[in-house]
Amino acid sequence: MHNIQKNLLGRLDALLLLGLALFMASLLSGDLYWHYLHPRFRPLTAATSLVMAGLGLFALIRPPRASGGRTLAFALMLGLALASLPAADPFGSRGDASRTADEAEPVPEDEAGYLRINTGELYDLAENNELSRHPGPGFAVRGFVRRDPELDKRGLFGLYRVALFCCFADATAVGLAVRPPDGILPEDGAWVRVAGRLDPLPGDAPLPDIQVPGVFYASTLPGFVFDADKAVPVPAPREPFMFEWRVSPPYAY
Amino acid sequence: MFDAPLDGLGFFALTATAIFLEAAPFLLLGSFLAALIECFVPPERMQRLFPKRAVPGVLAGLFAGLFLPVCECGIVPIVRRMLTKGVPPASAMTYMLAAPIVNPVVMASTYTAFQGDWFMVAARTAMGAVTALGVGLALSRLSARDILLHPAGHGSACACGCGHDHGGPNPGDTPDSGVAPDSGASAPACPPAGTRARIAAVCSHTVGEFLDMGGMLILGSLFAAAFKTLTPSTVLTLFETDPLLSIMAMMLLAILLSLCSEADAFVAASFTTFPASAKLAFLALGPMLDIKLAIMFQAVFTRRVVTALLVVPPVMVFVLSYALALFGP
Repeated sequence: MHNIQKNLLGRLDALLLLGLALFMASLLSGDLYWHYLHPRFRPLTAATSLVMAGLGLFALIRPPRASGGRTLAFALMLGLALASLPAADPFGSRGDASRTADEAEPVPEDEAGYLRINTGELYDLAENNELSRHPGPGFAVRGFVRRDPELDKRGLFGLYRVALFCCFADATAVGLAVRPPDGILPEDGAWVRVAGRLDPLPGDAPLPDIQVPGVFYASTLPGFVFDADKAVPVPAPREPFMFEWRVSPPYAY
Repeated sequence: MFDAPLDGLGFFALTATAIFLEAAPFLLLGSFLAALIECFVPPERMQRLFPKRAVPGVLAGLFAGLFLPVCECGIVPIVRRMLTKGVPPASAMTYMLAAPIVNPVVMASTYTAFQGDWFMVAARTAMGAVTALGVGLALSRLSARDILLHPAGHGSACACGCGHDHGGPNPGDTPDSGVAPDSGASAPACPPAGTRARIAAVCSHTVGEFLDMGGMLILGSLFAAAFKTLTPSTVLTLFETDPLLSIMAMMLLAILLSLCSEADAFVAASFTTFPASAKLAFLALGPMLDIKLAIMFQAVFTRRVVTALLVVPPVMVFVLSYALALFGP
């Protein structure tokens, strides 16, 4: 490759580094960061963005050895990063800028005495046979609805939250089968808040495997059904993911 | 919310970007450490740190992970630089495979994900350590020249663009290390004289390493995102009841998902219907072999080493996991 071409490609690499650093900085300054990464990584991303920008500037002055394939890979990455922005709202929360009362510092119980808990925490309580630790009227849980023909036939719907441990790629959904109080099944994808209790699943038929778009694996609490006394539509929370699971009240909800 | 026809493409872009954003800081750190090694650690000092004989060498490589915990995203550039500085392959290759598992951060995350189950922590660490030792011993007779595609730190292996031939006649370029002195080394070796020149050299090397390995990381992220987007999770549940098939399915999943070793325990724990042996296979193999690592291996190591890295860890993890399924608690 001619030297001028090499220098140009090297400088293009430098610009791509700067572009990716800028992308990271823009995520940090906006509301979309947690759609990609767990919020605990914010300082790490900020530091990376700064260092990458510095290295990009350095590489503009002293272009690195060029490689067409490498430049193409970084260009593709920057393009995909920009293309991902409209999709970075897989659970319907963008635009809901005001934090609801539910998202304030968790309080243990709602006004009717139901213990506020998220689907992951409730799943663990049931799996560890610790439901009896909470003898009150039951639990209040929120999440998005997944409908399934087999669940429909049994008068049930799936209620899920997505747990994000490090990044969106490792997100998994955790949920419950819910029986609504009035038999009316909510719309697929809608966010609802249900209050009720976990009862053993009637009959021998296990729950079907439910798929949740955008996550590779969805766990549905086996052997239980959530008998809801109340089911009300709610707006999607500003942070739809479960970033925290607690083992005692106040639960992260 | 889920019905838009472009959802698949959007999820693909989101997943690929998330993988890159998560791995980039660690790759940057790995590139920086590799640059520091290149510019400031003389080969003889590096060689003194690691025993030359195979068994002490692999044990040193194993425990190096406890003191220099680096996840798999940043490990390859460091190991490449260790090898060019004359660290015995037994130590360097064991370190490369063990460090992402046998390190305190990963042990703590495994403990948390499995809610204080020490068996999972111990079994994962032991399985990773045994596999890394096995590979380290198997490769201990090779020299750095047999292992590295560009053993003298040049060609695509250097990539710093500083215009020097600074891989040049190092004290570590002995028949023992397998690294031959560069022919025609006319420019000064790192570190150059003067603080500014040294900082510039570190920056050059960091940029070069990051761009080189970053390209591979991006390719791996794209494959992993495509797999995640296109494969329905219900496929996996077909295998969950059979111990043999569940181990194989989870190993394949570990390779294809390319998760960070600090997060993979949480994902494994969520596979509640799979046996512990299959989850351990997932946890032990993923940090040693996944798509992005396989692509990085291709860019750095010779074909026979790549073959060994693609074959030996899966076979060892499979045998250990299946033994656990048959005879374990």
